[in-house]
Amino acid sequence: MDTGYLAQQAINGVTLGAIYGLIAIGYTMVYGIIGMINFAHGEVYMIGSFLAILGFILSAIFGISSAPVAIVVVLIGAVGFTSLYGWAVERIAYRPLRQAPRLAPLISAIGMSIFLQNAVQMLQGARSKAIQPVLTGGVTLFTDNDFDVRLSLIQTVIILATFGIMAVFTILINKTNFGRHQRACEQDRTMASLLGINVDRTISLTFVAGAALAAVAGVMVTMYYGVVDFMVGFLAGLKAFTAAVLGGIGSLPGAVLGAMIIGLVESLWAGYVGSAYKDVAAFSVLILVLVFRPSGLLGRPEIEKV
Amino acid sequence: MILSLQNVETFYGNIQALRGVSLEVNAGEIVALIGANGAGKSTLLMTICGHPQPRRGSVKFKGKELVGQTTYQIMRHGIAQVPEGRRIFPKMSVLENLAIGATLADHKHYAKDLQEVFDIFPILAKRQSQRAGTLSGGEQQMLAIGRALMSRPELLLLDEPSLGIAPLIIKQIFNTIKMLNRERGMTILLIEQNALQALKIAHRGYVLQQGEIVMTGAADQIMSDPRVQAAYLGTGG
Repeated sequence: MDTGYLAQQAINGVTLGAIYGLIAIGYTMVYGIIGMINFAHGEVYMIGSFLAILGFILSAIFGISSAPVAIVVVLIGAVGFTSLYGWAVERIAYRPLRQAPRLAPLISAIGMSIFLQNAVQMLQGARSKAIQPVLTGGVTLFTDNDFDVRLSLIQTVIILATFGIMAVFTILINKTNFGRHQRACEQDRTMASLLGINVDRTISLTFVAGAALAAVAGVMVTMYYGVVDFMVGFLAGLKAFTAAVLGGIGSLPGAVLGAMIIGLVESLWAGYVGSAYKDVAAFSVLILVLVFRPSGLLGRPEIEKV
Repeated sequence: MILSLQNVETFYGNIQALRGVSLEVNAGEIVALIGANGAGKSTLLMTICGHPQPRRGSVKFKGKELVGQTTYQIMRHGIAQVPEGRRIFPKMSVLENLAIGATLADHKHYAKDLQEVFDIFPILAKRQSQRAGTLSGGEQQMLAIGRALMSRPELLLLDEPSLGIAPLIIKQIFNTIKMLNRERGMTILLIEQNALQALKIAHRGYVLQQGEIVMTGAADQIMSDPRVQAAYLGTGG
């Protein structure tokens, strides 16, 4: 087997995994705190991607010629806007159903997802939108039997930014007051409120944090592929969800690990078997996990509280 | 009077858990609330904290109406609860549990308050980086009390601190409660099934039966009442 080819697929897979990881964290955190899968989360990511397209076009119009400046501006804009979406989704679709049976918010989430897809389709049209590559260039890592193993600049940015953000996020959850409140609400919401923690606000902020990370993923994908349409959130959301389940839903490191595995499975499958069934491969992993290890790789089996 | 309940009625769905409960706690007192399992003792404490909200009646703390406020707002007035079953955060360290207890406190005296909790319960200092879920029942109860103290409450609500704990530790915990009251002037509302223990350290007491207050008075008066002795103290005929 060609090591060069394998290395190239691995680089592509890690890039993809990094993006899935950013989205998966949102799923896993929301699940952790309110025990619900936020099926509208993929749509929040899609909106982030659209905002990135708009942002890059606007920065070109306003004559921002430096790519790093444009990226930072677009990131800030997309994260800000998308956070607002995350907050609003929780407020409108989930909070009124806090005391309802578990199925109700789930259906509400699916409704929210369809609503957001259709809203973007109406506003932006059904055709995909594309932009010129924002970052070009890269380096050849090594050559193996005439095969150049390339690490593009954009891949480097994606991988570094993702891991940087994940590191910051891990500190946020483990060391700050917000993180402590977040984990307290995860473990016992009533007790958290008895200690003076505003549980509703903590849940809102969790949605905002998840949405912000999804926006970063959206911007990264837009820079990577340059194409977006109103449907992208569905598939990417589903894959990130798979990643979160694979890693053990509710576990932050699990989400990142699961995302890396899904990214690698997908790109290795595309590289060695054919890109036609790469989604099948990714979702087969989900089925296998659900059958053989329902609590995920790093998850703990849920113990029913008495 | 620091806490006063007037004709409080609390429901779980259609089931009435508290029936016109009126109760008062004066500053600097330990008030014991005794009653059998299911009498509504825990419901009473949770109703003070707004979870659940009473359907009728009034709960006033330092003259301010608490009914209608959400739990976290109520706790901000200077109330802390050590709830039934301790409810420590098992996946967090002992230190983190204490830090989270200080959510409502001024950050400036965090170090001092932490030291005081460690002075009261030295075992917590020894176990501070351990996961709280790995502590023994008695240690968890100490942690739950320590966590409540971290907010510097004016009123401490204690729900069955002796439940499921070794007798020696129970004694230590009751001594601590007494010390908090006598030396620091902390006002305490104490719920116990272990009625004798509770009444021994309390100034006054209430007896709750099927959601109603059936008796109130000085602690020693309640303790010597033949009905109470028969029903709760196991010494009567």
